[in-house]
Amino acid sequence: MRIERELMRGAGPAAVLKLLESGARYGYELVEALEQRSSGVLAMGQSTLYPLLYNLESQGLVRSDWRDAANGRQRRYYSLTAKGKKRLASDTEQWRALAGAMAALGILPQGAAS
Amino acid sequence: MSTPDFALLKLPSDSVWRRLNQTPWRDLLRGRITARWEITRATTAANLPPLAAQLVYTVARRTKLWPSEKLDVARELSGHFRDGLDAGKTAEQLVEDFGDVRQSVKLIRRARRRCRPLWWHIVHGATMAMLLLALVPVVWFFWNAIWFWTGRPKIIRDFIAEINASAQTVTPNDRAWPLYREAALALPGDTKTEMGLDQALKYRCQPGDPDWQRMLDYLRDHQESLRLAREGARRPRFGFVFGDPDDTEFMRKVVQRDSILPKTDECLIQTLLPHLQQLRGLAMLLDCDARRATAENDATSLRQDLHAMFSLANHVWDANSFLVGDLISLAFYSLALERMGQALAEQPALLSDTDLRDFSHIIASFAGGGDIRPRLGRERNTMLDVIQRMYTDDEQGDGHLTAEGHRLLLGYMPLQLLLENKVQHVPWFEQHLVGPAAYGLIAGRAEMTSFAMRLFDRTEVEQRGLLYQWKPSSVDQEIKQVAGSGLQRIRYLPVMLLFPSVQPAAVAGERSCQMRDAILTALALELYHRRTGAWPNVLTDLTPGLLPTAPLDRYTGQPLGYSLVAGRPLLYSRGADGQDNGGTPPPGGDRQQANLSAGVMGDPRSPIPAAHGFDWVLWPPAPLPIRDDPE
Repeated sequence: MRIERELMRGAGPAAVLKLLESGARYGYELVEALEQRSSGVLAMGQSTLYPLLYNLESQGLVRSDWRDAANGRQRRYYSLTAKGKKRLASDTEQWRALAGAMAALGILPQGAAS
Repeated sequence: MSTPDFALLKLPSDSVWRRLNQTPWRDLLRGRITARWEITRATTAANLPPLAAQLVYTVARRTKLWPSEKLDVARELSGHFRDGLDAGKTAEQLVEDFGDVRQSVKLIRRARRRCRPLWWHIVHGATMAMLLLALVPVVWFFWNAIWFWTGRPKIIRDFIAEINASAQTVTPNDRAWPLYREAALALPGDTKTEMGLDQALKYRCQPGDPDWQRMLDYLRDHQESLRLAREGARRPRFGFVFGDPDDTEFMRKVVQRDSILPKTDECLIQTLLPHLQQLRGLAMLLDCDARRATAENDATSLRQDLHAMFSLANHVWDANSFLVGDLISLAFYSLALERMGQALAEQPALLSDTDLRDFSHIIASFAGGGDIRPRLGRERNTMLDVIQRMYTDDEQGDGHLTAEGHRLLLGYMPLQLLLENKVQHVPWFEQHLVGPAAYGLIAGRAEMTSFAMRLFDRTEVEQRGLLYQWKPSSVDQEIKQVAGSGLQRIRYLPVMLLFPSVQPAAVAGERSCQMRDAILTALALELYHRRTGAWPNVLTDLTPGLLPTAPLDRYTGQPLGYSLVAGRPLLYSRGADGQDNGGTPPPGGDRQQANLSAGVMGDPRSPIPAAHGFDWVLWPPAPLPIRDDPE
């Protein structure tokens, strides 16, 4: 299913921040995780992901650093900053409230917000 | 595989020049050509297949970021593709999953620029702001230029036709102008200089003087003109029609043009008035004959000449052709008054009681009686005509400046060139660059019209009442103030250039009123003397039988100065200084000196220094100067 751009614009950063909550990840890993964990709903190509990551970095929500990977190549890993964690908490609250409201309206099934 | 939304760039070949180009200055200064910024290094290091390498190269290159940023983007994208390939995907799949390349370039560029340091954002913001500031006037100029070049003035009102409308209702037998025209055609082109009459009229030219004989010769040679002028003066209306075909011969002779009408691309202000100039020759001819008649006790001729002189003044006033026409009429009127006064002083018995009463009525009824003010109707129309030729017309009274209007303004300015009917060459720069800029600065049609008409209205209000009641003209002050302010001057440029200098003309009207009141009083004095054999002690003795009210001194508001000197009455105004000096005229016979104001554009009551201590003797005329160098 393809999500409207406006919806994706709000959901994308929150989804990426959430994925980074568990630890640093590199770009391809994020693409794969987004596709698998959202069953393809939040799948995004490089053309969307990397600008999104650069924007989060410019806002100070994530930081990046080049690290040597196990295969000997270098990868750029992204990790959450303290500011990013606060934003994630805030976004989570807002998404829950939104989901609750949508559930109350019958758009989402009851209990979706929890 | 889907085709990328725009062509992928071909990977560059490895040349020395390219390597130099991709090497930071720091490395070059160390003598090393490292090509560290080369994007293909990233794709090569990731061992990407050509299609993926091309995509990475294309995206990184087209972001137009700093070289180090491009390399960074290329490394990350290459790593991404490598990871995909290692996970078992094909290059084609990965390229297809990449997404919109053009959008990607745009977003990456925007996002990476946001990551740049603060100093860059400050410099970039300041640069953008300066560019924007520089762009604003450019946009403003071209926006103005579009309106400026596309607008066209619409000539709605034919002011000449409006002027002619009244004159064309006059029946041929009532028209004085055709007779005046014939009389003027028979006179020499420049009466004053050709005959030397200007000198003869200025000094006390008496029978026996060489100039007196010259004047008599002149009169003898132009008896036909004199007859025609007197006959024309008996006609009730002036009846001059602008563009009358019957005037063609006259116009050819006096202005070397077939018509005095402005051409279609000219303003009303360029209407020629040669007929008024030629009438001056007739006025002078009549004046000379009135002098002769006075000296020779020729009552019949004097009566005819004075009648004709007053009629001529009335006719020109009747023509109502611009401010200058009214001023010429006032000059004729004042000349006739002066000659009346001279005749009354030198030959008091020459005219009968009936003559004196008749002339009193003629003199008092000039210009409708009351205060004589040059009228501004034609000047208003002149201004409106310039405006209608400069601006577009939205039919709601508003409009904007046009290229034609700008050309008119520039091409016919300064005013002197306009009056001489010369078109000034307009440089290309002024026409094409100053024009659109002027469009943005100069007032719109409605505002310009309102400004001009407001000045005219205020001028008329300010010059009501007697001269002593006037205040320094606030209109003149405003014009000076606007003229001194750069932007305001441009905003109202047509008005600044064309608004007439009205106050001196109004002062001339006041002087004529003063002369008129004095001569009417002199006529009443003469009648009183004939009845009683004595002169009145005070001027109120003349009222109400001979005068409706005692005349006032218009410079002070007090009763007109009156005294008996050597048994003869003397009428005088206190003049510009407002002081009663017992009727003492300025030395040297310059009678006008006492009534001159300093800077008539300022306070009309402020006297020139030479006016202090003297009065303006109105009647009898003070002696004229003796000619210094009689031939």
